[in-house]
Amino acid sequence: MTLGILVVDDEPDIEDLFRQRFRAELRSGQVAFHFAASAEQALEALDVGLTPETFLVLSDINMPGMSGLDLLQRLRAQTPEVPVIMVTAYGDIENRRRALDNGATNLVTKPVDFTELKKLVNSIIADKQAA
Amino acid sequence: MNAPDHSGEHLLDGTIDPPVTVEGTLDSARLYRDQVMSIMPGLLVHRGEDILHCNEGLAHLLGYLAPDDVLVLPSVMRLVPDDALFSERQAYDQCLSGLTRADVRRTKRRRADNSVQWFDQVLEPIDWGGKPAVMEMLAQVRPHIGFTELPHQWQRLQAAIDAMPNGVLMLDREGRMEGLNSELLRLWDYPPGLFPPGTPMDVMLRYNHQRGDYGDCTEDDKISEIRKLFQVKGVINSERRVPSGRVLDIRTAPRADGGIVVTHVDITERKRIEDELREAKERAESILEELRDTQQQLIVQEKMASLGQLTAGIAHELKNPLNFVNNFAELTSELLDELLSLLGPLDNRLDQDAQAEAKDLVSSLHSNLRKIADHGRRADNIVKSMLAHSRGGGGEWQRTDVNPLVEEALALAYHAVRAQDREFNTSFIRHYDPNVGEVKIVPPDISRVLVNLFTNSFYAVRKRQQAEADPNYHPTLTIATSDCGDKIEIRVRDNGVGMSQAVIAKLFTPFFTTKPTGEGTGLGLSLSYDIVVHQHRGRFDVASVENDHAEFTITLPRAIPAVSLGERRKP
Repeated sequence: MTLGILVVDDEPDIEDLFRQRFRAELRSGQVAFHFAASAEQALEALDVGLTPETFLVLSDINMPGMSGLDLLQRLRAQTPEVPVIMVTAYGDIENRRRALDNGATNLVTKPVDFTELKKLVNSIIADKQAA
Repeated sequence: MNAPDHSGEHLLDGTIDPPVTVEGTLDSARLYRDQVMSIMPGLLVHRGEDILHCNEGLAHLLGYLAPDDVLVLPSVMRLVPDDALFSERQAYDQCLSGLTRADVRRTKRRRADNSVQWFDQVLEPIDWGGKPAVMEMLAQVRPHIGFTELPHQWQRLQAAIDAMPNGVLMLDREGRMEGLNSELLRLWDYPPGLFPPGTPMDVMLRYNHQRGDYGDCTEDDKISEIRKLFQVKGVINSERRVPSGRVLDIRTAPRADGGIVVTHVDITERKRIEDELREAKERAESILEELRDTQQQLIVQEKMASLGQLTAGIAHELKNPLNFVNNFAELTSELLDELLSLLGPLDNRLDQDAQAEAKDLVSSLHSNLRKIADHGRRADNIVKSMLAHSRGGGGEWQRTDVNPLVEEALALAYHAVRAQDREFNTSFIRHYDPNVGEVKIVPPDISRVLVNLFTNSFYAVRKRQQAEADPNYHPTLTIATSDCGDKIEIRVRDNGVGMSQAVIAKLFTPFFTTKPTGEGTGLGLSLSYDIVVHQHRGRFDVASVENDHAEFTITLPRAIPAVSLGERRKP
């Protein structure tokens, strides 16, 4: 089964970065990525429905327009079963706290350590499949 | 009915015609009564402000109709003229506490009609209703025995100088006293009758000396010094503080016949007001100075805050692109490896030269990617330092024992350097002053400053050791703390490579470093300076001789003015 991961970030190069970092998993068909350049786009895409179905959302916090924290709140209300991982800036204690308060499944600190992120994604996949 | 004339003299001289009528005898009896009343001393008992008792004599002496008119006065001080309030209050207090013996004083009192009159006075501590009180007896001023024989002119002169508001002393050409007035007796606290006319001036000076007016100096020295003052022709002004606490302005005016008139003006009150004004002025000036300082500090703080914001802004903006650089460099390296393993089987299709060239290109590519990654990490470290610089430690102000903090930072820095270089060794000389005790600081920030200084010192001694390769060179770090009253000092001295004046001048500039590129960010001392000077309102001093030593001194105030509890600049 291919798992859909929605990555929300206003940096367009994020797409290349994720595709290359997860190239092995992509090639083997374990995961598929969807990308949204803003929180608004992410909500739109989720409304329309993505294939494969979104299994995990990974979102930056600081974005123009709707912030990652607002997106998190909306997602918690709309799709409580989808885990959300927030990407926070180095040392930004305030946003870390707010992200956890708002129900983020987990936090990843910038610069993203992809080895750690892969482990995290794998553990979430394992949890989901066990359920 | 008018109060009897205070002089009372015509009543006492016995020149009353014998009465011929009953009214006449009654008048005579009244006169006799008045006569007796006038020679009876006035008696007043008081405690604090309260008048407890007043006899008829006193009421009459002061021109009141009856004792009740005195008893209803709100305060006993109502009977004292304004310019004598200070000395009378002092005299009453001393009497009430039992310090005074019953001595005759010359004093002045305010009468019912607000006129002022001189009296001779005896104060005595008494028991009144089980509690101590002051008994005050007032009597008409008696002409001095010496003066009664003087011609009428003299008596009129005496009355005239007694009416003057200043103390007056008249000396003849031989320095004998010719006359003095009541105000002089009062100002100097001389009992009346002490210096009859003809008394040599020296006697008065010796009397002053004996009661301690001149302190410990030798009697003869002081007397000849004062005598010399009198010999100077012309007006001499001199301000003197007399034992009672009064300040007198003493002026000497020579007379044509060689005698001298000395006037004494009580300027205690004026001095007090002058002192108060001066103090108020000084206070205002010091507040103004403090305000200026605060303003200056605020300007600096504001500047530093905007610099901090700028730094943080730059760091934030650089962080994301830098992440991409680092990530893609790493990924590219991985992709290159994967590409090579894919192309591996194709290698034998190339000829020898082409294969060698391909190998060379691949190794250059690898090395370039490594360099991109290395420099990217370097830039990343700088960005992190910049963020730490601008963010502030977030630590709180705490009373902290300084010596253990210094020792802890030293251990931390030493472990860090030993982790990098097992060979490294240095000796420590510690001078911790136990009086330094606790100081209110932000502990993690000061600790950071210290670790920074120690790390720099280790670097400096290591560099010298490597450069000189002299077996007799012993790296030494001296760490001293000292208590300087309202400040404390922390000194860190090393015998490392030291610094030139040019380096010292740029030492605290952000990004200035003497370490090889890549080893230092150049933010350590700039941050330390910020912490010590701006946040803690301290001082940061540097002294160094190249290839001999470097010494850093941090001075921290024990108390930071409340208006300016320092803050690190925050974005």
